[in-house]
Amino acid sequence: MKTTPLFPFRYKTSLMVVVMTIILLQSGISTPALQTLGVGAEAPDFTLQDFSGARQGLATLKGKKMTIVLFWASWSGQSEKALGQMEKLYRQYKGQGLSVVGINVERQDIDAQALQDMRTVTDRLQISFPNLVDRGLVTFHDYGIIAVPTTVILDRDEKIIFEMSGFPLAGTRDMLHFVAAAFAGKAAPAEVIRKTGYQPDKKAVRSWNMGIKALGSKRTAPAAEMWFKKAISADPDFILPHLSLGTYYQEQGDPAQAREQFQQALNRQPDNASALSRMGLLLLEEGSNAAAKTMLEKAIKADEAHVPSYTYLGYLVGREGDLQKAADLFSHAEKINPMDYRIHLYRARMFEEQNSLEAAVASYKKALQQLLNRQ
Amino acid sequence: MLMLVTLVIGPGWLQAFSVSGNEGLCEKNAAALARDGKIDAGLAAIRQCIADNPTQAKAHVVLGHLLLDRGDAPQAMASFERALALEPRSSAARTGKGMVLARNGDLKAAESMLKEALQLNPDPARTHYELGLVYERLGDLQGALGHFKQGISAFEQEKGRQP
Repeated sequence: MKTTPLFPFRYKTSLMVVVMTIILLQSGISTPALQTLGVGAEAPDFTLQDFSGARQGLATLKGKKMTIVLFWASWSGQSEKALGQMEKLYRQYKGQGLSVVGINVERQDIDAQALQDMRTVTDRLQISFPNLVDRGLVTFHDYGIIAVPTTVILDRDEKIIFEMSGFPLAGTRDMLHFVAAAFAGKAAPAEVIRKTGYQPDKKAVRSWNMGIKALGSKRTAPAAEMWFKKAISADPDFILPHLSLGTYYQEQGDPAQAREQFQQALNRQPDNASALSRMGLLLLEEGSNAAAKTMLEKAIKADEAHVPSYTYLGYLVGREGDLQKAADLFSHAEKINPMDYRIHLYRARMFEEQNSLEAAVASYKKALQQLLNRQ
Repeated sequence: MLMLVTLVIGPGWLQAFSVSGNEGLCEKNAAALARDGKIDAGLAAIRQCIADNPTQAKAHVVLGHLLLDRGDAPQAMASFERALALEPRSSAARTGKGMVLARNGDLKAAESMLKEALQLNPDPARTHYELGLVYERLGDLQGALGHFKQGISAFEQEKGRQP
């Protein structure tokens, strides 16, 4: 089968300039797409309705070799590009064991109009792979999606082996190389492996997964610290346990230990957007605004779809009095992921600190509504 | 193109109480049907749960919420009252009654009922949310702000800081 070139020839010269600029900007960057999961983690299972109401799940839809799960919505322009690209991959590799599953995350409550909007998109793009509807956004939250679209690639054992938020040029190129190499039976290019394909020690992954599960309820949460420490002990270069443990300490009111863990993560991946963002929030909560701003701006440069960074930066500049810039940042975050309750939460905090009571109430209410809508 | 998040609360009312173990499976299945947009099927399922086990107060609470979602406030109130008769200290049933009272415009009675619910169980984020709505409608913005914040905090403490 003929492979469609990523860029038509006539655009090659100008696009090369853009691509090279982005590559230079993103050199050494990893772009985490998921808030709590990551490469090496077990993918959460799901069973959802398709457009006709039939329930289908990962167990039956997964590919023999690889499964691409694409979270998309009709209101996201980038989603259409992602759907189109996934359709090409699906047609090229479905005979070799690739499955693609689209999960529509249109909005919390799905009515007939929303279903029609989804169908319009998939019909127009002639999408042939299965698409499911995430009513209530349960799967969206299980995966900890931070941007729409998001691409998550799973191996045959349902382990996450690649993740990408948004649909950036460089990231898409990496994904295409990653998939092509896997089906050619070759290793992905070293640069791609370095950015996205670090395979942590299995024991470390197991311990980290146990920690994440422990965080799921108040009763078991205290055990999470022990599991994250075990994961770090098994593989100190696996940065997700450092991030999880740092967040755990932050929530326990221990910023010193939180900082140490975030720094450990940054020592290993200096341009990791999640690590930069979490360190930025920590500094923000400590009142170190200048340092926080540097961290958050760096996180956004590393991952232009990293919603938490836009949110925290919006709160920060709002506190400093630049309300227009704050509004722009919050609005940008909402465009990427309108389901993130923290956007409303931090906007509310900003308004409350400015004694804008009515606006604060409205934003806190929206944040709580989004939480309650989760199942 | 900014997508406005729906402001309508769906089956999130499940936050008002916890159902666990096998005895909650029937209620959970009914709620899942409602979440999938199959309200009639959800109602049929929860009525079957009640037929199978008429003394299960939680099932009456779920029925009340489904009826309220349908706009049938009088029948919803009757379901919540049946739940209270079966389980007089039910915080979830009081929250449901408070919601019906607020929808009927009886805000002071709703406030009182929701406060009773919180005294019995200070955790449910949903009860804080409903109380916040009542205070907002009463023009008490400080009260509303406090309960919305407590609701967020209760949710995060129960489920961990959300991704």
